[in-house]
Amino acid sequence: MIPYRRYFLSLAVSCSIASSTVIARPLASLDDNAIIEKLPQTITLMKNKNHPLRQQLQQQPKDINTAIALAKQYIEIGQSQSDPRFLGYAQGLLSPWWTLKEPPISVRLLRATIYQNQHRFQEAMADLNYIVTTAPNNQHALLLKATLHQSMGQHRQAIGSCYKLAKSAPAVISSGCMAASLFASGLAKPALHLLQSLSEETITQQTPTTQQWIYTLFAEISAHLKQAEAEPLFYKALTIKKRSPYLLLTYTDYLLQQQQAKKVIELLEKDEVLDDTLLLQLARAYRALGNIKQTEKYQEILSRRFKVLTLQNTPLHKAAAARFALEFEGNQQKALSLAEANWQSQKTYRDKQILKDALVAINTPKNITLIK
Amino acid sequence: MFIIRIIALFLLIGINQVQAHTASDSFLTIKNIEDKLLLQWDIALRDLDFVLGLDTNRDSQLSGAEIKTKASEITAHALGNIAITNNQQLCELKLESIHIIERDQQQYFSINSQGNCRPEHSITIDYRLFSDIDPTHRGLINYQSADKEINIITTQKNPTVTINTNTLTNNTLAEKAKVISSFIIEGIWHIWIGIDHIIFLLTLLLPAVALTQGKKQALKNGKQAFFAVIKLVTCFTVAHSITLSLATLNIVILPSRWVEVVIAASIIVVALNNIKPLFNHARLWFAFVFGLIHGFGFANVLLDLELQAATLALSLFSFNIGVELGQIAIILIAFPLLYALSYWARYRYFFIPTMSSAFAAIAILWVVERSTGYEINIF
Repeated sequence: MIPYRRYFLSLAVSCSIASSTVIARPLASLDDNAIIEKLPQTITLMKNKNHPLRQQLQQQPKDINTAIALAKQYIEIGQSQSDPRFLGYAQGLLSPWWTLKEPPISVRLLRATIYQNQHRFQEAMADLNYIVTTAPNNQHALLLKATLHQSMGQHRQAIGSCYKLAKSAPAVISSGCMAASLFASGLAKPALHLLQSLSEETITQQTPTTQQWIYTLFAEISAHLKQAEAEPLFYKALTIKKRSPYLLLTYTDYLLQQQQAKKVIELLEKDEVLDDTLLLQLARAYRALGNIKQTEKYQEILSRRFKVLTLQNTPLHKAAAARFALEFEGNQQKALSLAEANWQSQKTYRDKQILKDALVAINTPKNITLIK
Repeated sequence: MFIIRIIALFLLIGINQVQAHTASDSFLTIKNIEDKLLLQWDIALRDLDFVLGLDTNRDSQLSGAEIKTKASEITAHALGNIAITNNQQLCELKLESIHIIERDQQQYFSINSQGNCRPEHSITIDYRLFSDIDPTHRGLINYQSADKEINIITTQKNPTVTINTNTLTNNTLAEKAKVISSFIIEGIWHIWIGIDHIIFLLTLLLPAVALTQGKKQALKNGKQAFFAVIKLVTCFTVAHSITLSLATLNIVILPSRWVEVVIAASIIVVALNNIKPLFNHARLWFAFVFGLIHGFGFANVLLDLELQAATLALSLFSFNIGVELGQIAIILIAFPLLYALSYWARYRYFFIPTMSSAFAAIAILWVVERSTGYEINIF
């Protein structure tokens, strides 16, 4: 019959969800000593370290070497903090050369990195292709290209780039590249053997960043092949004092599989900069432990985040949204469409996994054989 | 070694799309109310810190003191990077207040200001905040006026947007015609699906077609029957038109659940009176008084439809017309039928009581359903 609801005259058709739970404090009411916002340490360190550099750039924005030096740091912060702002800042620094028809290679390389992090794969590939044709031995470009091919599901090209890299780069780097490409193409065992052939010494001679990369990859492949060595390898990667969102993601996946949800919580709760994927891991961990209150808390945060991002036309982390839809919203159709959309844009094995899980949930065996 | 160090800087440890906190977005709400422009602009403290260096003691925390110290610099920077023009005249923005707002676990510096312009046809917003520092920064603009709401996004590539501020009272005839026709249809539809209203009417009409008032009840002729029906329906219509308007315009508000229960009860009253005519003299009053309640019922329906402030009166009027038209259609079908039936010998002592009892029974079920909220799905 007639519904028992009563709608008053309303203005809005769309209502910004973000504004529905807003508490505004007048500026004057703030306590002087109250902490209003915490900033990540890395950003403060960057400011301290680069104060003269930043000053210099403000005076001479067209000093390419300074701009590149600073842009690299911004990119690194952007990656380690999962903060896309810093990619924007890097892009801002490079703007005098960004729109040139022929930007210098150093700028192109950074641009490709930024594009890749912004998920603009075609544009990144365009820059990298240019670099490797004009400067075939540019190792950065080859490595970046290999990684890009991996995420686009172009495994042969990925392996090809690593092979070219082997001619000039040190063994650790090219082995890492090759192992990652092999793993991405489904050849986990050969990838593992390749990494096992590296001696501990050669690895520890590398920079911390390289070490973390190798150990993370090694651990990930070992975990995939259910080797016991995975745990100590993850541990080695973690001891390196550099925050790696990808490492945290892979490790927490492993921990959840090993029914070690408590460790996930210990690891992530003290981290201030959780992005959507890690928030999801936290929610999964709490749920595995049966902690309803915390599960609901994170579920609520994620749900709002995804809604807000969609409303604001911000690109979603579709894989995370798909898994959230699958495991928390129980919306299998939504999970599948998100997973499929994600698969269109990215084809790492993690993307394959969520697509498989979504298909299995909808129970269409026919489709599963298709993607195999 | 140098090469390795450089390569190391770029090692993408797995492909992880960088997406944590949202990218740099600011939120600008512009309200066009009574010819004033009220702005609320929320800018992330982190963004401001990066550009203006709010964390002066470099302890990785923004304290109340640090923010208060930089407040005027922040405001000047922000207002200096936005330009709102109305017919090529710059709107001066006067600062009203500053707040700190939390959105999605980030803290924002919220500037409330008022523009001294009266937007007649359109306003243009030129948004330049952080455009030289962060090409990925966006301004998420939400414009609200009495009859519309628009969401627009500015980017470094498209920093200027123009919003048409014409209110819908300058409606074209075509738009008006659309409103009229759609609400008439809604009105007709809702009375046809409003079984309780139809049954009420029918219950009222059952005796009306047949018997004259007064002590000696004789069969009416066609003309008498017809006018009797007209009188009843008119009372009903006038009454429900009044309350439909009062409720839709928010002048009188009744709880909808109660209204639904009373509507059902009204059927019972009229039906019982058909069976045992105690109030035959008052049947027009029944039509009127219960018509008032039915009007609130229609209002519930109308308010569920999307109404716009500027066309409210028109929508209301059209809806009412629709209801009347729907009613007329029902009468046109029911009246001849009932009148013809009234010649049946058993009309008065069998048909009327039986139908009335049936209607009453249904209505009782409705009363129970509607007051308890349980659905008794027999129909």
